[in-house]
Amino acid sequence: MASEDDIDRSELFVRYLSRYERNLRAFIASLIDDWDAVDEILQSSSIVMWRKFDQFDVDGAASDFLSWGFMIARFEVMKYRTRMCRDRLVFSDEVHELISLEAEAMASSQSDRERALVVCLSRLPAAQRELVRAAYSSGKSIKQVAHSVGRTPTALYKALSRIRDNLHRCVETTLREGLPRGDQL
Amino acid sequence: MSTSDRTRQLISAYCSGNLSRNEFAELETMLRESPQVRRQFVEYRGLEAGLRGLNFSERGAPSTAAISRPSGMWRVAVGMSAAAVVMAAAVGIWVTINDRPLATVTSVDGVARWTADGGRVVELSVGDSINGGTVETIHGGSSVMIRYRDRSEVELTGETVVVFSAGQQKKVHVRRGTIAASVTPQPARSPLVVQTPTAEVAVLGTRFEIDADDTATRLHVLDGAVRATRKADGVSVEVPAGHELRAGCNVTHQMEAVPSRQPAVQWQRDLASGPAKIVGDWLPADATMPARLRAVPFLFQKGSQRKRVVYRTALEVEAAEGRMVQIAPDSVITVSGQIETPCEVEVMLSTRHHGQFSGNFFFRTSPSPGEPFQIRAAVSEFTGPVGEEFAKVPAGATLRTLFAITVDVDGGLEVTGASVDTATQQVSEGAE
Repeated sequence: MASEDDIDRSELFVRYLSRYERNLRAFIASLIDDWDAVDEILQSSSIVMWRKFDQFDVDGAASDFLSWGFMIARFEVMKYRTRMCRDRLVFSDEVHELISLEAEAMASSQSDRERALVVCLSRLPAAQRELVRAAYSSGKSIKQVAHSVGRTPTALYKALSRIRDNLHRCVETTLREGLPRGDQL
Repeated sequence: MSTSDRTRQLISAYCSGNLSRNEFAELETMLRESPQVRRQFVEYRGLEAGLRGLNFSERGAPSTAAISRPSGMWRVAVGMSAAAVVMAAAVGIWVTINDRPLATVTSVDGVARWTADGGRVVELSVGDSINGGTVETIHGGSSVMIRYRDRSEVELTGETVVVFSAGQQKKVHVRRGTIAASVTPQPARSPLVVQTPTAEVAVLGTRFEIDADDTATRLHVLDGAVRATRKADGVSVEVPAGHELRAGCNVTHQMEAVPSRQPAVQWQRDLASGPAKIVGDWLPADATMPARLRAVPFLFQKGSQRKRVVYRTALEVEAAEGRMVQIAPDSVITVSGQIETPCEVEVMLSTRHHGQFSGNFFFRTSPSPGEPFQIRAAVSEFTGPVGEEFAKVPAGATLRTLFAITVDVDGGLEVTGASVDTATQQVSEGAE
C-alpha cells in the first residue's frame, strides 16, 4: 500500500505536470514538426519524469520543475532524432540546438501566449473563427474539413496560413500591450 | 516577395507539413543565420501548439477557462495516484496511436485514387488518410506522395499501381510503375519490404527508386543500402548507394549491382524502332508515312472539374543502356509528327529531380494541319501549372516521359519522333 508521503509526492507531480504540460508541449513542438511525434515525446517525457521524480528536489521553486522537464524532454527529442536521423525534414544538430535555446526561453511564457491567443481568436471575424474551429477541433483530415466548409484543400491551407499570420501578429501585440484584465493570471 | 513574407510563408508551410525539400533547406539556412527567424519560428510553433490544445465551444469561440485549466489528460487525474495517471495516459495514447491511419497523403499532382477495403474508391487529395489498400496514379503525368506515421515516404509517379499493406510491418506491393521511397530507419527484424512481380526488396532505411513491370524490376539506390532478391531463383544481392540493379525473370542473367550510370543529355526516339515503352496506337511505316504513334483518347477528370477528353501519345524517355536523360539549362525539345485538323498540340515533359517528382511542364503550339510538323522549343520556353510550386523546369531534372496531346479535339495527332538535344550540340552539328 502506498504511504502518505508517496501520495503527497504523487499529487505534487500531477500538479506540476498539469501546470507545465502546455509549456513542455510547446517546447517539444518547436523541435519536432510531426504532431503525432510531439504527443509521443510528451508522453515518454512524462513517464521518465515520473520515474525520476524521487530525484527531483520538491523543496525548490515550482519553476525548477519546468527546467527539469525541458532537460528530460530534450533528451527524449534527441532519442527521436537519432531514430529519424535519415529523414530529410530533420534540422541539423547546429540548427536544432539554436532552436532549443530559443524554445526553452520562450516556452516558459506559453501560458500567457495561449491566453493572448484566446483573446485574438475572439477578435477574428466569425467566419475565420469557425474555420479555425473546424480545422483544429474536429479531428478530421484537411480534405474532410475542406469539403465541409466548401473549399478545396489548397484553398483551406492558404486561408489557415493567412489566419495564422494574423493571429501571430495579434498575439505578439497583445503580449506587448498587456493582456486585458481578467485574462491575466 | 519580401524576406519577411518569405520567412512567414516557409514557417507556415512547415507548420502545415507542406514544406518541400528545397524549402526546408531554405528555412534551415534562415534559422541558422537569423535569431529573429528563430524567434518567429518558435512563436509560430507555440501558436500552433496553442491552437491544437484549445477547447472550442460549438459556436466556435474558445473559452479562456478552457486553457487556464490543465489539459484533459491530467485534469481527471488529480486525486488519483500519479502512477495510475501515468499508466492511464499511456494507455490512452497507445489507443490513439493504434487508431491512427497507416499513412497520409502529403502531395498530389494530376489524379491519384485509393481503393480501400470493401472496394470504396476515393480520389486522393492532400491530407487524406490511407489505411492499406491500392493506390494508383492515373496517367503518366500524375504523382502522389504517401507518408507513413514514422515519416517514411513512398511516391508514386506515372501510371503506377501499388498495394499498401495495413499491418505493423510496412509492405508495399508494386504491381507496375515507378516509386521513389525515402525510408526512415526500420527495426532490423521488421524491414520495409517492397514486392514487385519479379523481385523483393528489403529496406532498413534509405532512399531508392524502383521501376517495375511484369518482366523486370529496376532498382536505383540513392542513399544507404537495400537487399534485393530475384523471385525467379531466390538470388539475393545487396545494392549500395549510387548503384542500380535489374532483376528480371531470366535466371541465366547475372544479377549484380552496378554503379549508376551518368545520365545522358541527349536522347532520340524514332518510332521505326517499334512500339516499346509508348502510349498510343503504333502504326508501321507505309507508302506515305514513316512509323508513327497515333494519339488515343483518355477521359480525364480531377475532382469536380469538367471532364476532358485528352488525345495523347507518350514516350518513355530512356537513353542507351537504360541511362536516364537529364535536362540541361540549354536543352531543346523536338517533337515531329502531323495533325489532320486544326488544333492546339501540347508537349508535356514529366520530370523528376533528386529522386522525386518535380512537376509537369508544357509547351503549346498550333501546327499547320495536313503536313509534317516539327515542334522545337527550348526548355526555358516550357511552363509549369500556373500558380503552382513548380514554376520552371529545375536544372538537372531528369525527363521521364514526353507527351504530345490535344485536349477535347481529336485532331488526328500522330507523332513520328522526338528528341532532346542541347543548344550547344545543335550549333556544333550545324557547323559540321
